[in-house]
Amino acid sequence: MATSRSPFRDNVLFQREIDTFLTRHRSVFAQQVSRTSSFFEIACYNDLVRYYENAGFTVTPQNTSPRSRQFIYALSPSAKPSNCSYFLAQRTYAAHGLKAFEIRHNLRVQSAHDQGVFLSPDYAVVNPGSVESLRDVNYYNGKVDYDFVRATNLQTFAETKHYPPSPELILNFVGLVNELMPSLMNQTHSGASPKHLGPSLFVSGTGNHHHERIRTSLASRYSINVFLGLFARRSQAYSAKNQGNLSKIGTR
Amino acid sequence: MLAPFLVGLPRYLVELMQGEYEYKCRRLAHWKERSRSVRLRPYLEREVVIQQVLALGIYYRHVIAPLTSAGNLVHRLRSEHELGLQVAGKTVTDEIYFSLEAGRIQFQRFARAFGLEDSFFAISDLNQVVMGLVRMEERRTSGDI
Repeated sequence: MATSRSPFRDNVLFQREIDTFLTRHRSVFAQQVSRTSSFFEIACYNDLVRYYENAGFTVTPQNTSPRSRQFIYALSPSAKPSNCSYFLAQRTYAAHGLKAFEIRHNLRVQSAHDQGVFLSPDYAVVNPGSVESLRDVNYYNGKVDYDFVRATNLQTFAETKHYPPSPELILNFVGLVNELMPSLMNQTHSGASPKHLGPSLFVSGTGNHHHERIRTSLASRYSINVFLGLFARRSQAYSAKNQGNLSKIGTR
Repeated sequence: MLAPFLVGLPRYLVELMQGEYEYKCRRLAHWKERSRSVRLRPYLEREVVIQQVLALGIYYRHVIAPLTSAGNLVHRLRSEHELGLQVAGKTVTDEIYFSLEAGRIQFQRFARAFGLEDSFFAISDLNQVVMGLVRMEERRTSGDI
């Protein structure tokens, strides 16, 4: 971009601008700083919603608070799904008719291997109306409903990490894929339309050559997306330009 | 250079940011000491300028970028559905949203005036930061920007 100023040549001015910025805005940022991780999680949720929107789905917020007119975003998987908002993505196909999915957050999903194992990815795209409840003495002493979605009703999921990437951080994600969508591990997953974004890991930190190599390797083996450096390249999951580089999976 | 950015931040974040900054400053000092590059030397001599940019980058990555990243969803809910946002039981009020946006815009405006885009601050690798600054300065000197 056209600029005549330089941090080297105009350093006094540069420092003055920094001081002015801090004087005006430092306290606002400091007051909200405890929300950094949650706000980053929300931003990635919006990226996932935009993926469906750009794929031709109509997305509408559901289960919002009618009194306060608010979208309720819960950060804990112990929050009841009936008290949380989510987006409903809908699209009508000439060949397949209406297809609809719920884009939810912090929803408990049952393992595909063991009915007694549950985990909560940050975001889950599930079939409409698939949240179930059980009462079991092992969960909340059987006094409260234990809400979950069966793995068979899960279309895709995503996790977010507000960290610099490391090989371990990226590779650990494969464990979640194995537990929730083993058909991707043995490449027997459905290829039916509509296509979903493959299980995705959103990482705030930028990666190096090695991280990029792991990313490419996982994408080719398991149809996983690893988005690195989201502060530099926010639109990786939804931009039209990047669609060809994404791993996508079919609806089951 | 980093100290003014840390005012009012919680201790865990201060330690994290300070650790990153000190590590980079040590590596920068080492680089300056050992570099024989005629191209890089004049810039490495201006260590303080590079430290300013490093401090800005650390503040951007740890504070500004994550706090303002949720703005897209807030904007979507407000403009398309006339809805507010509640996160973990706390409302993200208009006041909070607009104050953070104002901060982000001012940061972006002054940084761009010096040729520094958001994507530049997202880089955490010291070598890439220094080489990015050098290339920018060289383009400026040759009249490309």
